[in-house]
Amino acid sequence: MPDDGRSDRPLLSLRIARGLALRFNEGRPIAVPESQEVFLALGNARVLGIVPVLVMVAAFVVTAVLLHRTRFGQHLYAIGGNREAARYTGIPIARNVIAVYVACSLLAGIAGMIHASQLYSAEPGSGQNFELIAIAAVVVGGTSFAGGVGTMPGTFLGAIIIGILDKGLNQAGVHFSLQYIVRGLVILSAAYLDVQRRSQRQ
Amino acid sequence: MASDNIEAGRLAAEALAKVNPKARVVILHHSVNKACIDRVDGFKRAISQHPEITILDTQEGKGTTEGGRPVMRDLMGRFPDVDAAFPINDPCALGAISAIESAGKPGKVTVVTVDGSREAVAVIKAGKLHSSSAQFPRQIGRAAAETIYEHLAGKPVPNDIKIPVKLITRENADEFLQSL
Repeated sequence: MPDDGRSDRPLLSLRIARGLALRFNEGRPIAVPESQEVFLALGNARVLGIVPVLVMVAAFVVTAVLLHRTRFGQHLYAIGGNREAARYTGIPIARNVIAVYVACSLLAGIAGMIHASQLYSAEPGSGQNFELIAIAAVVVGGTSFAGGVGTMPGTFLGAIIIGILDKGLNQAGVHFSLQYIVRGLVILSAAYLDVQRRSQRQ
Repeated sequence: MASDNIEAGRLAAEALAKVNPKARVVILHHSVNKACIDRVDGFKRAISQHPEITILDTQEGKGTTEGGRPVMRDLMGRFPDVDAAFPINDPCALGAISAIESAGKPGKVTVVTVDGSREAVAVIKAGKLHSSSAQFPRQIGRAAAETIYEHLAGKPVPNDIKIPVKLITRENADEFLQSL
């Protein structure tokens, strides 16, 4: 990410949102009552497949169409690649960037609902460091830290690789301390490949 | 000043041995926490008195609901015959139970844990959690304040004070809730 003073904003709003979550209900978890059948189905039911998986596939299809088949998507690549150049071609920067944040928050909200549904409870401290898992999946999927490069199919593969890695390490009975190290090394290699690719282009 | 965590682990182990004397059990640890290390020590020590119980593995459940769920899910994948679990606290137990339910094995895995929170006691009453070795935070607070007063008054105080724990099962769940 180019250092334009903007990249730390999501992290700041994350902290504020965490604080709000702790203020809500005095920081106590809220159990999802069994009577909330629709909400519980969101994370646990099987209707033509596992519901959360279907939601994920739908989210990927919609975002892939938006990113790869619309003018909005092209504008995002342009802004990510070179913000100044995009501004000179008349692309409205603020409107597009806000739209991305809104879309991101919407998806995070859906993910949070699925998470609470699966755990049968909503916890204010939930999802700690999940943003790092998301970043890892995206980077492993070929998105560049520098911006302007990356695809939805790539991110899909990245998410699957991170998921398989987690499950595989657990299933193989690898000690958790070693799991942290392996995951860190995988993300490090992906970031290294990104730097390599970029220096080749220049 | 803390709960007697070794005793809490022992109570959980004895409760498990009573209902599932040939248990094949997994432990969901939170190994960076001293209280949890004591619980697992107490649990393992008591289990060693029951040679028919096998501890299949110890994995990190992080002591949270969301940490416990995927670890329990994957342990069930690795050990299809697992029929008991010792998550080291209530939140982790709730995560393990949600994994057990989503694997279609409700009632087939005996879960014993430590804490005695309202949320967990509700799940004990629903029959999904066998027991929780309850801690008594009010007593911990009271004893801590009293000890500080004594110390300030210049009296000698013990270095380490252990507050007793109590096993909560379906039988005494209501009574326990009323005492809170």
